Amino acid sequence: MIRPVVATAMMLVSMAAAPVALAQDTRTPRAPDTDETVTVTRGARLNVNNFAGEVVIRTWDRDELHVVARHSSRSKVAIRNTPATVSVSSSSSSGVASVDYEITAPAWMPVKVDGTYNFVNIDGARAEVSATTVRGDIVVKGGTGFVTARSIEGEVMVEAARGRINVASVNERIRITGSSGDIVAETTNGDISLTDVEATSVEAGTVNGNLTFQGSVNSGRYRFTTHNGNITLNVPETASATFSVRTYQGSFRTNLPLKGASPADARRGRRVTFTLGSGSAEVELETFNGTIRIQRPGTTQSRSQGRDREAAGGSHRE
Amino acid sequence: MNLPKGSSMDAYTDRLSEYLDDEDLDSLDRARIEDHLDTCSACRAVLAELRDVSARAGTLTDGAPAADLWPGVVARIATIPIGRPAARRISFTVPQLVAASLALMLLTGVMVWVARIGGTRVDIEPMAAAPGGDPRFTPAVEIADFADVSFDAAIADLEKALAAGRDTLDPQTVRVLEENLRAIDRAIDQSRQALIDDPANLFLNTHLAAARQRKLALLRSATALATKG
Repeated sequence: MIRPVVATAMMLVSMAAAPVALAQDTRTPRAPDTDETVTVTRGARLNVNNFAGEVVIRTWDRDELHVVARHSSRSKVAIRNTPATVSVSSSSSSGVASVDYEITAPAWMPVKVDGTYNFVNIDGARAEVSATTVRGDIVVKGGTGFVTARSIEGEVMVEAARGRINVASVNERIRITGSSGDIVAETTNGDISLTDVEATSVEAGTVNGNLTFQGSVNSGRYRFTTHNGNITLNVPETASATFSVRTYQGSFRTNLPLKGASPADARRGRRVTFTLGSGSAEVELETFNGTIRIQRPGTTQSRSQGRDREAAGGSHRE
Repeated sequence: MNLPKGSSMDAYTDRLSEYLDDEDLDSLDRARIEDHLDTCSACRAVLAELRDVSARAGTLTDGAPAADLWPGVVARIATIPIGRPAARRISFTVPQLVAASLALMLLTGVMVWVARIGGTRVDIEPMAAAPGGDPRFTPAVEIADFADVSFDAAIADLEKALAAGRDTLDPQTVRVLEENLRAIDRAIDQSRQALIDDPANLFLNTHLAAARQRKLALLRSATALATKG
């Protein structure tokens, strides 16, 4: 049983600690070191050059650019506003500047972000987007026309983009969702995932990684290649495509009513062709060492090959 | 060009022939040469030899060659027939041309239809020597040469440039790039090993080429990064 004196002391200590804990939980962001709004000319482009830090860009419908930045007192942010370009950059008396930006730009404004150690997040752009960094993830939501996102040591995620989408990483994965147009996605050590995609052409390649696609395939050209990894295409039975499958040390599986030869023929690099529907789209699937699957959306892979099993002979149904 | 004052002896000996023939020498050069000859016995000896050669050349007379080759050449040219043999002429009537055009169109259409709709297309296995078969009908199998001199040279240049600039890169970035280059090298090696057993395999050949291109592209990006500093 706790003595009343001890209980009272514990209560008093707790009451004293509560405000401190509350203050810590609120996590009030530090006041910005730069907070500036400039009126921009319609048609101008935004260029952000940041050596290191975070660049977050949101959009609104005003013809104004609002720049909020947090940086050390030795760094300075410069905004250069011309009718053609609005440039946001920084300098530091210590050599390199590390700045965290929160920028609100007009939705119509094309955006370009360059840097070396940057985490980039661009949301709501309705124009061209370009983001490149060496180390850091890139997240782009939106973008039309040319949408480019490149990182070496970072994940790249693109969502709801329309147009020519060109994304690349070297050491991390790529995810593209809810997007449409022509898509090029490349990485070396990482998976590539394309989900809810309506593409007229796809070129997706990795060396060590899996490729996953889920979307409509009714016309156009699609190419998926990997060296060490599986390729999984989730397409509805109503799709119309001609699939060319090649694997050297792997296998081919399907649970769709594909017309063609036996999946067992897909070995040692032989090209085996299957057709779904009228075969309008051209789809190439190649892996040196991995399994190629063409399956209905929602298919789950089971190790016992219960639901998703390799078809034999001329029949490809489950 | 005038002889500069204090020229070397070679400069004077080079002009002695002109001095002897009284050509292309202005009065200043002639005077300088004469002053030099007064003091240089070697040049006087050269001038004397030149005079001797000139005198002997003047005593020579022209003579006909011992043998004239031209008549034989003319005789051989005369035996070569001139003009081409008459070409054989093949002609068609208009109905024949129309029929041929229709047949060609029909054949092309059938080929396109077969290519688009036709059945399974399966690569034909490369022919190999059947054990115990007739050696007269066994094609010789040559091991493919995977060395691509221009590719290897490009890779070597880029690797050198990257090595020179790697100090400008963050060490972690260098590690990541090297790790990924090694991953591509492993893919290249695996493709090459497979090709040793299966040299005519089209998939392996194109796969190897693609892996090489990927290595080149990554090296270019890395080098650009390193040189950008």
